[in-house]
Amino acid sequence: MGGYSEVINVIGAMIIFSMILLNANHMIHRNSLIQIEGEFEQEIIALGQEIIEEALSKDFDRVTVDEVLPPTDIPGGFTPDSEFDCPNEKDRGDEDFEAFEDYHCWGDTVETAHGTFEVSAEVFYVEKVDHGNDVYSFEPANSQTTFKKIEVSVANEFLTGRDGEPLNYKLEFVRNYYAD
Amino acid sequence: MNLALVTSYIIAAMLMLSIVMMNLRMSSSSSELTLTQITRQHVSDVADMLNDDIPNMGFNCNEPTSENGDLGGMILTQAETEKIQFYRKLDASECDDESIESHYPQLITWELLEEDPDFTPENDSHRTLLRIEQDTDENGEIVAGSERVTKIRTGVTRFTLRYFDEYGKSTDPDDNEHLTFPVSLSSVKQIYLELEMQSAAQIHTRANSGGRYIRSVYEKRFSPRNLDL
Repeated sequence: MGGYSEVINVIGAMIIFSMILLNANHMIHRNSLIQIEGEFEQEIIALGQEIIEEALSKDFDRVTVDEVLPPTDIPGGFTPDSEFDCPNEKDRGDEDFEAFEDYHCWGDTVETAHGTFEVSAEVFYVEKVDHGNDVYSFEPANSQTTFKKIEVSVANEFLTGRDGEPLNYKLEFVRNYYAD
Repeated sequence: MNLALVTSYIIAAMLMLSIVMMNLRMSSSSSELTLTQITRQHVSDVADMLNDDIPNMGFNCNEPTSENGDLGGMILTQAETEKIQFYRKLDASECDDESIESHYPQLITWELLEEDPDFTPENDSHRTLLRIEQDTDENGEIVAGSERVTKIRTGVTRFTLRYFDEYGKSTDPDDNEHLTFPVSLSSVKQIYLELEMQSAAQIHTRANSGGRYIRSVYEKRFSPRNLDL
């Protein structure tokens, strides 16, 4: 047994060292992932802001396009959300892409220096809910209000959750008709 | 010669080599992470400045600069690949004060310098990015001596601008969907910006390799609200 004890010691040392090496490799891999995730998330935020800014540059509602007079009934005269189109086939540069709600259920694949991103948007009416103590939130409304919310979702195949599915990053903005 | 002794020396040597290699890789990975964070922070700082300037171009106290005859009804005054110049009011709180004469907008210039003799960077690709503010008077003229220059020398390697007269066009330079120079300033609706920064120091993954710089890119298509009025 005496001759084997050194061999067992060496094997033990090798196992411990292998575990340290595996741990170090895992850490290096994590570092690389963090770097890539940060770079992609920076791009995702820029893309989301890009769509929100672009939507904000359009008219609040299609009934106010081309500087026509606002409807006599505000907010009842605004386009009901049941009439928001689903412009999946439309290009953002199209002529009939001229009001805030035209971005509703729009989606596209955007090529950037960082790769390909899936971008989609939703627009719906929201109402201001008072929770007391100067705390407010905006909740989806059943009818027209003077507030519209845009939700932009951006996803990339390299940014995935634990289940391996791409994570959906959401950026939101509430637009107030009277603050335009 | 004792075979067991030789074998133990060989195993010890292999272990030592592995430990040294692991140390090198870990230190390289840590340096890379630190450099990435520094570079990204620099990008984020400049992007914050651009995100304040570009979307707010054309803003003035009572009306957009495009409706001010003294300024030639302009918002953009220069639009080039590596230079952009426009009017904007920097401090809106001044508009509330009747006594302040400077109710007039500032002329803002962003330019990536081709050469800067005062700047000798560690990374040869680094260039100086300039941001210049100039006050204007009631006639739309530049106020002499009002120039405030910010020299950004934190590793900018690229500052490319492309201009679009319609929304949502491809930003790919090969698609040629962007406006070609000289740009028709009044037709610009969207501005695409690509900002690239690189680290000053190199990362060496192997002792005898040439090393590489860490880079971070910020790209965004701006839709300044006043350009679409």
